[in-house]
Amino acid sequence: MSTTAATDRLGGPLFDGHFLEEVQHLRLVARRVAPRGRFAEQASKDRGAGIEFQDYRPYTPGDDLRAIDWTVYRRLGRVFLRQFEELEDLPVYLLPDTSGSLWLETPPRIAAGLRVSLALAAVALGQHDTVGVFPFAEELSVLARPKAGKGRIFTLAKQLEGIEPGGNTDLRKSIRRFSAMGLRSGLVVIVSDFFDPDGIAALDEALQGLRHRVLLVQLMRTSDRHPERELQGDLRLTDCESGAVENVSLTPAVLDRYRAAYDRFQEGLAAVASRRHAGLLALDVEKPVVPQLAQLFEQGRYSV
Amino acid sequence: MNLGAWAWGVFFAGLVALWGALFLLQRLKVRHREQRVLTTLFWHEAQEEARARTLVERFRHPLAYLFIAALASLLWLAASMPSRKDQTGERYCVLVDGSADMAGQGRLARAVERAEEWAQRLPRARTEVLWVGANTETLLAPGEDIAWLRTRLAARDAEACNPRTGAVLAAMADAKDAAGRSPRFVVIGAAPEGGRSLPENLSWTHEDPAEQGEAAREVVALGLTPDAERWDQIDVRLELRGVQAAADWSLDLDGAAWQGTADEQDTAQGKTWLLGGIPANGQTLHVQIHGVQSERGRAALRLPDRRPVAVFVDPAVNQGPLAQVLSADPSLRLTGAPAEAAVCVAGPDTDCGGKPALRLVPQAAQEQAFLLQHTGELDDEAALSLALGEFGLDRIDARDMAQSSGWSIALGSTVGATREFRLWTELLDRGRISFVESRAFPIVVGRALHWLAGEAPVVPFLAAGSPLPLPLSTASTGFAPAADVMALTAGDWALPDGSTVPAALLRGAAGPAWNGPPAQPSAAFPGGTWNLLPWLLALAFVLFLTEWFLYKGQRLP
Repeated sequence: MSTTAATDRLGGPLFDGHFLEEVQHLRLVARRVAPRGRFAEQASKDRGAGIEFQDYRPYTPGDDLRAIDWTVYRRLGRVFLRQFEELEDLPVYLLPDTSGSLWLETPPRIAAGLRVSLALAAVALGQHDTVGVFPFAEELSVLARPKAGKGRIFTLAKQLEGIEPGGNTDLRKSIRRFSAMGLRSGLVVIVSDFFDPDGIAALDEALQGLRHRVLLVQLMRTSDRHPERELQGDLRLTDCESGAVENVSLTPAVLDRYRAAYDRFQEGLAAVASRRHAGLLALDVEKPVVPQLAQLFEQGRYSV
Repeated sequence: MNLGAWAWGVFFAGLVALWGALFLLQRLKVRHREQRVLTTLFWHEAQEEARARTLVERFRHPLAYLFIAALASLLWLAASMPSRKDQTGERYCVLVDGSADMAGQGRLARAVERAEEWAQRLPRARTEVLWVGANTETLLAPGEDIAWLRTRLAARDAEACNPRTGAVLAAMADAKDAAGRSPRFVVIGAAPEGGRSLPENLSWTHEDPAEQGEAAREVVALGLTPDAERWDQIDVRLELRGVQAAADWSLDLDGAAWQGTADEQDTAQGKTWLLGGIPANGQTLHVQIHGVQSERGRAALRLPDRRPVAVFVDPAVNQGPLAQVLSADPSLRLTGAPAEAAVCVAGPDTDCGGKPALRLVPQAAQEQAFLLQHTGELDDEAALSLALGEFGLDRIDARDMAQSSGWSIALGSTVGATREFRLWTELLDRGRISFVESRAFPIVVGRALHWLAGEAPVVPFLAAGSPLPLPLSTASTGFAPAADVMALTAGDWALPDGSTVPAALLRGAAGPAWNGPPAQPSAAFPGGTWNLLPWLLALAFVLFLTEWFLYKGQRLP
């Protein structure tokens, strides 16, 4: 698919100069990133040659003599090495949902989904973190392996614009597949409407084995809770992914029960996020993405 | 309340059928509109929940059903043409005036519209509609479909007759039902004529389709009388209403305009013109008010043919008082040629060549003093009446004559091949009897000769809808005096001898003014002030708007 065609389908370009400018002041901050990372700006569990003093340890042959604390040696007569906090990168794994439901409406939700993914990628790459992109629908695929570099943002944008519509949503299978990749612990951002045929339970189960911090970005619209703004009368509703059919007459009672079901879904999603210590951002796809994303970053920082 | 379109049973059956049909429509499988959505997850849950709460299949839209059922019921009720309830069981009769008064200026069309409105308004099963023209005809019988009314009225036009609604009212007011009640009447047309015996409790209302301020211009009276001075001329009296000047009307004789002068007089009804010196030569006189096209604006009169009668007088009898009378009468023209004469005056044995004759016969040859011989067209009584009345024999003093002469003065009639009037020769003897001295003698002689000549009677007027004037209702015309014989419509009226006489619509002869109880307001009749139909339609419209707004507001599927 050409970029132009993809842009038309998404309702416009994914980003521009103004977009990058908007996300420049946002920062992802990890309390302690997993060891064995690349040198970057995040605090890590590794001891190394950072600036922040962290601990002493006895000297062992082969250690760098520059790290010996000579003051302690003169006072105690023993050789200790000063250990500093190692600054490493935070791996950010972006999992945008590309299932059919995100391509249905006009403009499609996938546009907001890809924009928020790109925004987070821009933030991460801007602070030398690594970013990988793993689109999913029925299956998880690897669009971009985790890599750092500010210049990658343009490549990523182009890659994201080339994403094709997927099939059904299968959160359980996709996230387990990602989990099985054994990637270094980092921040997993799942950008989806979370309309899995198996409901929230599928997400809950999938997140059980995931050894990453999780940020759930829910792509939603006001009409999700108030379908009567777009739907009226007697309808034969067809699920755009599964093809399941429901004959519905939009009576007030039916709409009340629908809203109750939707509210339960929202509560379930929030409960899963809380239980898994995951962040949750409900992103209204009809509004600009970056301002909503900024709300997640308190004082410009989002701590992982 | 009652229904104009159908019975209550039909109404309720239709209502139940409507509700049932709408109920079935609600239960029928819905024709769903296809719609793709992101997920049916929540809809599925909502539907499952609804199914779990109902034992049987859910009635889909009770509120919508109530709305549509109410709307359909209102429309069904409106279609039933409800009107104010009439439980009295009374009968109603709508009389549509078809007289000449309804001609012109759209009056009949308006009357037809009003008749239809009344037929719809009154109980159909107890209302009949009658056309009252020259004859009375039923337009719509009780219970008959109202659609027939327009069809039957379509071909109707005002007839050249006077209003007869008063006569019909009087006749039908006596037609009482089992409860002893007379029908109630609606008269649409000209004011009914009076002069009839009408019950005091007659219930009727009147609608005049004439437009407000529409001035009536019509011929009120037209008649003639023989000129007092000239035998062969007549005088005509013409009375018009709504006409102020002689220039507004014209008069012609068999198509030729009359150029004489007219004396104008004011009367209570309008103006009267007296036209003198019109030749009595059998022509037809026509009067036309300019600008009035209906029969009310024209009238016609057949003038008598009063040319002098040619009389041959046998020289043997042409002497004495008889000769004096014959020569002095300007309506007679004496001739010496029997072939020219129409009548012969002769002795008992003189041959008149088969022509009618006045004969002087000896007393010994005839039992009666006066003997009328006719050709069989009269019975004895009519013949005697003719002789007494028309000949003027009633003017002689028969008792005095009998006493002075010692004769029995009698009158008889017989039938013969020709008309003859025979009288005793002795009656002319001044020395023996005073007959020739009486004023009746020249009258008897003159009128007898005119009768013998077969002269048509002078008809002063012939008004449609009025009894025949005397000359026409006498035995001489073949019409025995009978008040029930009359010309019903204006136009040529056939006489028994095959000739025709023009009958005119004369307001002066139309009868006296209404003398019955006053008309009631139309509101006193059912449906007068309360028509449910527009209210039902308005309510249905409001209901429709409400339903529409509820639908647009998502509160109704």
